[in-house]
Amino acid sequence: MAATATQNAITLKGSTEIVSEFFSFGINSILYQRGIYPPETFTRQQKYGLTLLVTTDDALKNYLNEVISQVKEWLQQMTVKKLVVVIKDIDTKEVFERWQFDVECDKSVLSDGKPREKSEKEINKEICSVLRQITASVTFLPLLESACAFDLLVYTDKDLEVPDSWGEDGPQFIANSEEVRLRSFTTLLHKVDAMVAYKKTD
Amino acid sequence: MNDNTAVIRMKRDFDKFISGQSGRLDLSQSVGSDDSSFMNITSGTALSVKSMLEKEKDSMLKDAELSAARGTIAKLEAEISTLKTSNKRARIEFEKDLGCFKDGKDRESDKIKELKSQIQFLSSREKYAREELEEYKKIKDNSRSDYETKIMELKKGNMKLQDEVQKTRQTLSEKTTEFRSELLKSQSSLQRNINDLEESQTQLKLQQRRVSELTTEISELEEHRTRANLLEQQLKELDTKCTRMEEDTIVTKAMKTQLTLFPDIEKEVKKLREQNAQLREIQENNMLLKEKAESLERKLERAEKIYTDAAHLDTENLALKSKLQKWEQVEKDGKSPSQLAKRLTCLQESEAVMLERQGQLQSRIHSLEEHLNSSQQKLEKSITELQKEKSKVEQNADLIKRLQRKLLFVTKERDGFKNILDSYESEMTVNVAKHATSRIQHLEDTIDNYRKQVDQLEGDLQKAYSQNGAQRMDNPQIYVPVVPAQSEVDKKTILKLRERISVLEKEIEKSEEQRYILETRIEQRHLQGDYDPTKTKVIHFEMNPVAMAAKQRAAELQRLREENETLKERIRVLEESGGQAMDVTEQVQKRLQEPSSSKEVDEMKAQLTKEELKNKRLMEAFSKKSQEFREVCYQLTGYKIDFHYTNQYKVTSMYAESRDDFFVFQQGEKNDMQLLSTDFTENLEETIDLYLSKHKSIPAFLSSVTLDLFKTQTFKV
Repeated sequence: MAATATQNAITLKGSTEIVSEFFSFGINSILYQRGIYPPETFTRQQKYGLTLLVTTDDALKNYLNEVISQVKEWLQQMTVKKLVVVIKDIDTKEVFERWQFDVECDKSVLSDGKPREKSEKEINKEICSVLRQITASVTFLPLLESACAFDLLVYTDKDLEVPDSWGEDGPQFIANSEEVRLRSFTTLLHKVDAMVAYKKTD
Repeated sequence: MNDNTAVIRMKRDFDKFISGQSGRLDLSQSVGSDDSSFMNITSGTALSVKSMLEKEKDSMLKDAELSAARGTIAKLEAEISTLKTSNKRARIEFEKDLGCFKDGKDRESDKIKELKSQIQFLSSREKYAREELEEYKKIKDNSRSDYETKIMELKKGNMKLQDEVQKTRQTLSEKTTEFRSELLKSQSSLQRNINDLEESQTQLKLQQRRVSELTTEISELEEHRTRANLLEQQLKELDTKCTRMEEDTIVTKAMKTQLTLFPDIEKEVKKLREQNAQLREIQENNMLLKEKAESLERKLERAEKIYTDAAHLDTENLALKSKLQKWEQVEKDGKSPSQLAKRLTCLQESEAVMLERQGQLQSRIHSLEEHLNSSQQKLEKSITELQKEKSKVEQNADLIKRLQRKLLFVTKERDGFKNILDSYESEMTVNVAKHATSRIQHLEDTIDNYRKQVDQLEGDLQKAYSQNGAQRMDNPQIYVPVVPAQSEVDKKTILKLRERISVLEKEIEKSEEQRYILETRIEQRHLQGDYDPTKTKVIHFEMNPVAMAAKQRAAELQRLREENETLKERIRVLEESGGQAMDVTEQVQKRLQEPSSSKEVDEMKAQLTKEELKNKRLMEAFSKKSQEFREVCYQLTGYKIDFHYTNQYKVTSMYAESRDDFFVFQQGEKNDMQLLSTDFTENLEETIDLYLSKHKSIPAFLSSVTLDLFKTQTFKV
């Protein structure tokens, strides 16, 4: 009984862990699905009851680890508002797609520190459906014809001190875009809404 | 020549030396026999030059040897001294050693003494030991003889014992045989015993069997006992039964007596059955008779009716007869039946007329009734309409109230919308969501208000209805005429209010639409990634893949450009050499390094334009400056100097009377200035002679000219 009781309670740390892990897998899935990196550089991994593809490219891995670990810290402080995966043309710098993950934080936990009651299984189910949608969204997104690269934007509180390796940037809007809202999941501490905006094709 | 004299001189010197040396050499005679012999040889050979030379040589050698010997002597002496010291040291050491050895020797001698004493002691011990040994030997010999004798004795004993053993063996064998026989006996007895035992066992078994049989018998006996008990019980039962049976026999006897009566009874039964059948038949007859009786009764009733009818008819007949008699009497009064018939016809006609009238009247009555009914219906209708109107009026009054309240709310709402719209317009991006939420709250408040109002109104309505009903019940007549007066005023107001409501509703719809549009726009903006720059900021990791890719791209582009350049150059080289060039790459490299490459040319051009620009600016600055300078010169000296031709300078005075009054100076090869003749110089020959020809001073000449001109000008003024 004790074991199940602890599994159903979500602490801030646990929630942070779950959300950052989701980000990692979500970004990897997007990169694979949108063909930003060649498919042979990805390897299969079982997670959330799905077979997900994770990169084996060392440079990319290092970059993702760097960003995710930093985002994890900010999630714990509850200063993250959005995480955006921007896909843009390397030559023209035109933004083609924006995968936006809105993070709503229940800041009351910072004062009371109580864990929330929700089973990990349920959360995993929700995450699973979000990832499925990401995979399925390839069907309606336009084909990326030119060479593209991606960037990760983080929307944070204005007064947050950031390390030197991070710099301020613009929101990287898409001119003439179409938006689709995807599913969301919540750990009762962090609520993550997923959406994708893409350049309208004529 | 010099050499010869030198040799002679040397000889003389040597002779002198020898003569001087001879005395000294005596001292060395004691040194050794070799030296003395050497001296003899030198004295012997002193005569001839050769011998002299040899001597000289020898003496030189000797000297050398001597000095060497002296050295060796000194060395040896030193060695001797060292050896002496070492010897002394050695002696001292030796003495020391000697002392040591002496001590050692003393110790050794002491030791030897000790050892000698020990040897003596040991020899004495040896002797003593030998004596002991001999003694022991003797003892041993004695003991040996003793032992031998003992052995002999023992052998004898042994023999005896062996005999005894044999004897005992024999006895033993005998005994064993005896024992064996005994054993056999005992075995046989044992077997017997065993047999006995077996028998007894069998007997025991038999006994046991018997016991078991007995036990079984006992059990059987017990069973029998129980059975006996049972049987006794049965017996008792049977006794009781017997008694019963006896009783029964008495009964049966009685029954038998009854049985004797049975055939009689059967007969009786038969009789009774017959009787029964007869009775049934009688019953059926009876039924028939009853039916007949009933039919007869009916007939009787009919007959009675007929009878009463007959009585009636009789009475009627009597009455009619009396009537007839009366009628007959009337006829008898004097009127004939024709008159009667006439009268009858008249009466009949009048009757017909009367009937007609009656019909007309009846139809009239009907029509009137119908009219009445219709008018009544109309009345009812009008009453219901009236009621309806009343209710309408009431409703309208309520509506007015409601609408007025609604109007208030709507105006409020409209103001709210206007505010929101203004805020939207003013702050399109910032805090839109907040406004929307505030607006939604506002709307919710108004809805609540509406609900309250509706509740109130419903309450009012019910009250009004109940009151109304009561009033109508009290005074239905008073209520009616009031209605139309109110209704006309109300109608107008209602109409107005309705119009206003419709207008306001339209406005609400519009604002709702706008709100919806704005909300969707906000949602879209949110989806597009819009954010509040006052609260949030967007950051990204600077070494992100896009930046890296861009950098790589740029590097690649640069590389490709360079490659393109080399390839172009290569093509050019190939074209120039007609495709036969050897070492194309080398040439290309050379060419690329040369400044003729387009890139460098471009660079140079750019530099050139830059330089030109610079130059131009400099020129401008310079011309400006020179202008200033010339102006200053003109102001200070009173002469304006211009370029006339190459190396010719036109000098014009400030005070010149005309434009043509100027000097022209030419600069010679050695920087000397020469005045060239002009129209103006022709008038100034005196001053030229004075200043230029005599003193060769151009400044003086020029200043005199300025003074002259100044004077003439001032005089003129």
